[in-house]
Amino acid sequence: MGRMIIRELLERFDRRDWKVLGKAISIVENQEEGCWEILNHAWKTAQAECLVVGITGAGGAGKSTLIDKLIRICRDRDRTVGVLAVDPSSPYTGGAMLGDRVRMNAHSSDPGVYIRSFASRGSFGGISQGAKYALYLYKAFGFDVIFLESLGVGQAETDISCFVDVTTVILAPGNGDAIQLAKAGTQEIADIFVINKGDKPEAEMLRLQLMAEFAVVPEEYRPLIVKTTAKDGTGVEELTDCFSQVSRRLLPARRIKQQIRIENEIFTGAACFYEPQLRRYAKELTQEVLAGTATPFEAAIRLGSKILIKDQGGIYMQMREAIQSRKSIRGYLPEPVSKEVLEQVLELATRAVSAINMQPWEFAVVTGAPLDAIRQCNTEDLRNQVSVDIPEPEANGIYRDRRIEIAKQLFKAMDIKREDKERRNWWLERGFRFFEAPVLILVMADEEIDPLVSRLDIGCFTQNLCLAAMEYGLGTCVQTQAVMYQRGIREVLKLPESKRPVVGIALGYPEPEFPANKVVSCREKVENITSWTGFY
Amino acid sequence: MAVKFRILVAKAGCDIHERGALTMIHVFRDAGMEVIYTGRYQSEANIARTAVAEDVDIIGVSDLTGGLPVICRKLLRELKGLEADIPVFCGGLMTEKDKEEMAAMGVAGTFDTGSTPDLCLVHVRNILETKCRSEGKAYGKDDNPGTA
Repeated sequence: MGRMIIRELLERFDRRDWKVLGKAISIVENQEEGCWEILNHAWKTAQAECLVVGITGAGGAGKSTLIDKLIRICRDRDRTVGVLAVDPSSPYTGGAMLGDRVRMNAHSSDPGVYIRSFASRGSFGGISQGAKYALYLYKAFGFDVIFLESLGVGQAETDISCFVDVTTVILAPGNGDAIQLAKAGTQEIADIFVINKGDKPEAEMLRLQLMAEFAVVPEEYRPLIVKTTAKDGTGVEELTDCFSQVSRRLLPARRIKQQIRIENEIFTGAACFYEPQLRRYAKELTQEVLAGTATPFEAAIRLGSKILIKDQGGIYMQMREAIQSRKSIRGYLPEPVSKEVLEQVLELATRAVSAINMQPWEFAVVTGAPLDAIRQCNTEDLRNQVSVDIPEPEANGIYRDRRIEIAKQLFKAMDIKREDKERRNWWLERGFRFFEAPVLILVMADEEIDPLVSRLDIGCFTQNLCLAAMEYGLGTCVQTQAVMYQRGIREVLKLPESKRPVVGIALGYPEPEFPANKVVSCREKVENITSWTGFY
Repeated sequence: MAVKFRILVAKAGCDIHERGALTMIHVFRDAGMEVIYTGRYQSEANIARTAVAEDVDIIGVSDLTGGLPVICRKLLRELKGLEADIPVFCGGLMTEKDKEEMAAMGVAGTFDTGSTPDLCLVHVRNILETKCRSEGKAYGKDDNPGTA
C-alpha cells in the first residue's frame, strides 16, 4: 500500500469511518507496509477516557455470551463499544475457526458496535500480537468501552492483564475444587471474578470457596465476585457497575501497567525485527545438530552470539545508533574480557584511516595483576604529588566552559559536592586507576614518527576502537590521564625508550547502574562551528 | 510474511441447516485459513458489515432453502453499498438455472449438494491466490508451519 493511500486511510480513520478500521487492523496485524505509520498515529491520537475491560477464562465458560449481554447494557447507556475477540490458531495448520461473533451477532447491524475476530497466530499469552496492536487503533478510534476477549485460557495466560484496565476472570461451576483456586497464574490477575452459569446449584459453592480463598487478603485488595447467568442476562447489570467501581480503585495501577506495556511493545517490536534472521540461522543450525556436530543447547548459544546478543548483551547496531550512543564508561563490571574478543575488536579498529597508510600505532593490552600494579604505581605517584610527565591540555574560553559542563554533569551524577575534597580526590584517583576497568589498551607510537602525524591517526583508531567495542557489548573510556604518569606503565610493561605511549583506553563490560555511565555529554550545534560556502 | 487468508462463512435467513457450513469451516481451517463464522439467521446487510469489519478476503454463503440467488443478489448489493470489493461464492441447494443466474450477477463460485469439499477448496484457493498476485502480495506455501 502506497504512502498516499495510507494517508487517505488515516484521514478517514480520523473521521471515524468504521469501514477503514477493518483495513487498518489487517495492515497492523499482518505488519504490512504502513503498519508503523498507522500505529504511530494511533498512539498519538489515543483517547484516554475509554475503558478497556479484559475478559478471560476457560473455553466454554461463557465469555462471548457474557460480552453479548454487556454490549446490550452499554448500548442502553448510550456508550459505543469495540470488541476484540481472540480464538486459537491451529499449531498444525495455522488455520483458525473464529466463532466468538456467533454469540454476539445480535449487534452486527448496530453502528455503535464494532467487533473484530483475531486468531492467536502463535502467541501464548491469551491474546495475539495483532489484537494488541488493534487495541491501540480502537483507543484512537474512540470507543467508550472496549472489551478484549482472550482465547479460552487455562492456568498461566496472564498477558492480558497489563493491556486492559480491568481484568475479569470468568469461572464456571464444576471446573475443579478449592485447590484449583489456590493455584498461581490466571487466578491472580483477576480484578473481578465472574461466576457464570449462576443458575447451577454449584455456583453458590464456588462463590463461597472463592471468598474463602481471598479471606487472607485485605478487604480493599480483594477481587470483586459477581454471579451471572449470561444466557438470560442475570447479574450482568451489576457486573457493568463493577467495571467503573474497580477501574476507579485501580487508577494508581494504570501507570505501572502502561510502563509494562511500553516495555513489552519495544521488546516485541525489536524481536519481530530480528525474528526472520533468527529463524533462518536456526534452520541452518538444525542441520548441524542433525549431523551430530553440536547439541541444540550449544547451537542456541552460538546462534545468540552469532547474530543478536553478543557476550554481555551488546546488540548488533546500526552505524547511526552506534555513533549516536557511544559514550565514556566510567564504571565496569568485574568480569574479565577474553583475549579472543579483544583480538577481534583490535582487528576491526585497525581498519582506521592513517596518513599514507603508515598505521603508526602499536598496542599493549593489559589485564589482571599487571594492570593492578600499574594502578598501584599511579595511585602512589598521585598521592605523593609527583608532577606528571604529560600535562593536562589547557582549556580556556568556550573550551573551558565545555570542560566544566561535563565535570558538573559527572559530579552531579556521582553526588560529589564541590566542597567535598575527599570525594573529589577519590574520583580523580579513580581516573588514574582507569576506572577499575578489567582491561587497559595502551596505544603507542614509535619515536621516529612525527607526533603531529601519529596523533591524528591514533585519534582515528581510537574512535574506531570505541565503536568496535560496542559490537561486543563492551564499554570504553579514552584517557590521556592513563599516560600522564609514565613510571607505572613503563616499568610494568617494560616499554623500550623508542615507544611513546600516546593514549590509554579503559575497556570492559559496563556496569549499567553506575551513575556516571548514565551521563550523556553535550555537543555544540553544528551550525555554530561550521561555515558553509557555495550553498544556497 | 505470507498473507493469511481470512474467509467469512455466512448463513442468511431462516435456514436451520448448519452442517454444510460447519463442514466447510473445518475444511478451510485445516487448509490454514482463518475462518470467521457469522452464525445462523443473519441478514444480508449484517453479513456485508461483518465482512468489512473483519476485512475478509472472501465470503462463502451456505444455504439449503433454495434461496441462494435471492440471498446472493442482496448480499452483492449490500457489499456494493459499502464500497467493498469482496468476492462471494456459495454452496447448498440450487438448480442449474440458479447457477446460471448467480454466475450472471457475479457470484464467484457455486457448489451444489453433489460437490466435494476439495473441489470447493481448490476453487477458493485459486480465487484468493489470483487476487494476491494482482495485489503483489506473497501468498504462502508456509501457511502450514506445522506440517513442514
